[in-house]
Amino acid sequence: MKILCQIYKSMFFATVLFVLLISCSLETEATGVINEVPVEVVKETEKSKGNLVIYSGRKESLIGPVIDQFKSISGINIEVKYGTSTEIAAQLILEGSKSPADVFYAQDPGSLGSVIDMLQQLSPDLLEKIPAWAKSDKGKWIGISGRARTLVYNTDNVKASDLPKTLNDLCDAKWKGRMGWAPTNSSFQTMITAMRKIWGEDKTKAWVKCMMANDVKVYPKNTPQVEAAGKAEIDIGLVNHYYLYKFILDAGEGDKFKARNLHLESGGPGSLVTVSSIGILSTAKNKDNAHQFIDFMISKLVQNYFVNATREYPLIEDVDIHPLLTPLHEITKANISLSDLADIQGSAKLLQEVGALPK
Amino acid sequence: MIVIKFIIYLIIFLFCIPFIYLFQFGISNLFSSINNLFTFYYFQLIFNTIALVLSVTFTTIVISLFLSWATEICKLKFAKLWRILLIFPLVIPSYLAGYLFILFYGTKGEIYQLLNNFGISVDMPDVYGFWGAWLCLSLICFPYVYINLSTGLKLVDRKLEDASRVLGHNHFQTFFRIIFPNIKNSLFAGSILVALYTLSDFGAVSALQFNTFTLAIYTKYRSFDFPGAASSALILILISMPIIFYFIKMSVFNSYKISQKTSNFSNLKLFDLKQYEILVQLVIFFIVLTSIFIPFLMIFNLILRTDISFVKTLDLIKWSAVFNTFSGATINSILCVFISLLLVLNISKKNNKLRLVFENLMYFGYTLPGLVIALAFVYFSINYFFSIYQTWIILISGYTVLFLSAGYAPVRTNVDLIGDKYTVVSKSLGKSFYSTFTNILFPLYLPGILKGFLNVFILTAKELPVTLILAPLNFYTLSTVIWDNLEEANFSAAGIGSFLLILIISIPTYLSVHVEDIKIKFSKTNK
Repeated sequence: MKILCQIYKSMFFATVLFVLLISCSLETEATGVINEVPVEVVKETEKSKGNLVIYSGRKESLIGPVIDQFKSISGINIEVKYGTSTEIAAQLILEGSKSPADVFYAQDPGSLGSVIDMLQQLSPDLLEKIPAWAKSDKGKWIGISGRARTLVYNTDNVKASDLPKTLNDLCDAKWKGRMGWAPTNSSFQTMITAMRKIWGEDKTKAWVKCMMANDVKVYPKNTPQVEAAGKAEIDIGLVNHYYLYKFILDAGEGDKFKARNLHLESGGPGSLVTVSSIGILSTAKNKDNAHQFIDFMISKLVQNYFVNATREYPLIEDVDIHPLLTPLHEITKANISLSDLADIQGSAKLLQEVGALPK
Repeated sequence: MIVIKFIIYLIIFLFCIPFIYLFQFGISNLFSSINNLFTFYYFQLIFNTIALVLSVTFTTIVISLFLSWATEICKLKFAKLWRILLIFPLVIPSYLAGYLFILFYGTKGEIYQLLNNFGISVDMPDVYGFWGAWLCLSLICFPYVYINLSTGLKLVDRKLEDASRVLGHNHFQTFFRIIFPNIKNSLFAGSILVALYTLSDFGAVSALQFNTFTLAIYTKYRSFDFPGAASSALILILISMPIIFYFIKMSVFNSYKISQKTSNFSNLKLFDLKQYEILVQLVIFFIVLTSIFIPFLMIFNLILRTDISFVKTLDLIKWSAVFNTFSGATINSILCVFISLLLVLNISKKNNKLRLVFENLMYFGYTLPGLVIALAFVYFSINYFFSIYQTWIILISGYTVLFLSAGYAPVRTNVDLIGDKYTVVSKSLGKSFYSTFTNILFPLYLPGILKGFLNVFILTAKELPVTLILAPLNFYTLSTVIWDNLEEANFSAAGIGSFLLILIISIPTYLSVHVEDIKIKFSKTNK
């Protein structure tokens, strides 16, 4: 029994310590403020404005502040579920009509495309604010922020004159063993989907094969690729444009970070511009609140937040892009509708057939 | 008694849920794509998976045998410190471990930079692929075997050792001929955890890009090929079957052979290493360095890697995550230990068939990737039990199915070692089962219970895929915070999250080692 006494004693102290820890932390939570966007918060006195359930494929550290802001402005009680866009799509399909979700916000149009039958038509006042290229042709989802596919290259090892002009230039033997990609990444797979639409299946297959023959290094996702390009572990990586600024700006490495983005001049699938996108489920219980939330996401305030926090492209007029970015109109965009990018499964199949992805 | 039976069948049912789901979604696809199974590609995938499992298991067994021998049997300075430290590699979630591993050992990683600063330019070996995955997983997994082995060693009757020495065996002969057969069970219990963890690991193999079955399953889910993913998971179960059968057969077989006498800790005679102690200390230090100090250093490196002020970084941490991680892990580990005790005491001796069925099922739960189990529970509760969907109940059920075996293994080993002689004696003295349990059995089972609790606590605290899918809305754990910030390249916040996770896990780790020491002292003074 003496032992039990000892256990209880130590457990008691552990609990006391823990309670102290929690009480300290609760105070910190109360002081949390939205990052980088100084705004006057209009607090409503009325309390209950209903609920809203958001399934988000974008991370809490990124859009948490936006959601908190919306909560305090609208007075709506918001519940969020975070995850990987495609895994949430899988969960939505399993949930079917019983899904508690009102809104699905995903990294890419593909995830929304895969559950498009579960989405409802968005109202015209939302649709008209977004340019035609950045929304669903059926009006079922709209883009929130734009991201460009780019090549990230090491500035020490790649001279300006050597820079590739098209994706096909990467098949050149001089890039052998110097490149990286992330075939499991959904943005990469979306680029492959665009490639299949623009180039056709055979040409796409040939390109993937020649990249593999050129000993392209496989990375799990974009960030480690950009990091590897900065350290000259690889000289060229295929990524989205905004990861670079995480290193240059947020990690404070500036010019010490030896990698920069390259937007391919020739256009084509290598300079695809896609969007993070949002839609309302047709089984949603809080449609008005969902509408209000989406309207907030494309407000000037939030669009500005995305420009500063993630360096993505804003999709409404009157919001300036981040000074370090190449303006969208200077990028030769791939000539393709984003609604045609839903067939991720087909792209995965193609990558599996040539052995770039596990079967 | 009916209540206990009901609970047992309920638990068995919980473990069946993933199978029902997999059969429903995967079986037709499995037969339609059966031709794919006999391709070179599949052969290679299966070969990769098995090679990784075997090599990691073997490596961890070797490391842990050495470590447990050194810290439990030898007279060693800092033994208590090592015993605590050596549990810590478990703390690091595998997706983080893979990333830290690349940061440090990668072609242009910290080692390379460090050597470069001294003017030495070395081509680092490529960490991606088999060697990286093998080393990384071995380094984070070996404590499973170590914990089990050291618990086993504490329970071995040390009088046997004396007898053996008197009969002329030297120390090592005694260890391998007398002690080793007695701790074989613990070895099996620990190494099956490692083997199955390796089989179901996604984080490390995906960061280090080694193509295994689990990676293939995830890739399929991410390209919306649900039937394909389900049929791959069925194949994963087929692969794990022989491993599980072998381990269970061996451990059941062994439990009849082991000595049923146990050490009462009073005759602890430690082996004097004399001049070799330095050597042993150095080896232990090297293991601690590679598996603990380096990852922890890299975590601090992550924390410092920011331009944003510290206060702003702290804003990125959801503080409720600390509470959720702690309470989720505590609830689940208490539950798992409780269930294990219930099962071991109620079905172990009387009903061997039920026990076999149950143990098999339980280990399958541990083999399946978290994603598969989570989606199975989504499917089940959406269709049949909507009221528990996205509540704590379903989250904890998911955790239990995943990790029960990790709590069960040490508890069972301990109960088997103690045997039922005390129960028989106590019964003959007219004591009720309840008083026998609290006064005699519980203290005797305590080492196993503590180790089971600790195993499950650590696993639950760092769990990611099930938490992401099954958790209630607005629910964060430190693991989701680390994942979130790592994905978004907020290195500093990810580092702070990892640091907090380590702090939380260090509470039960310290307690379990500490309580054991008290117990030893207690039984010594009682003599």
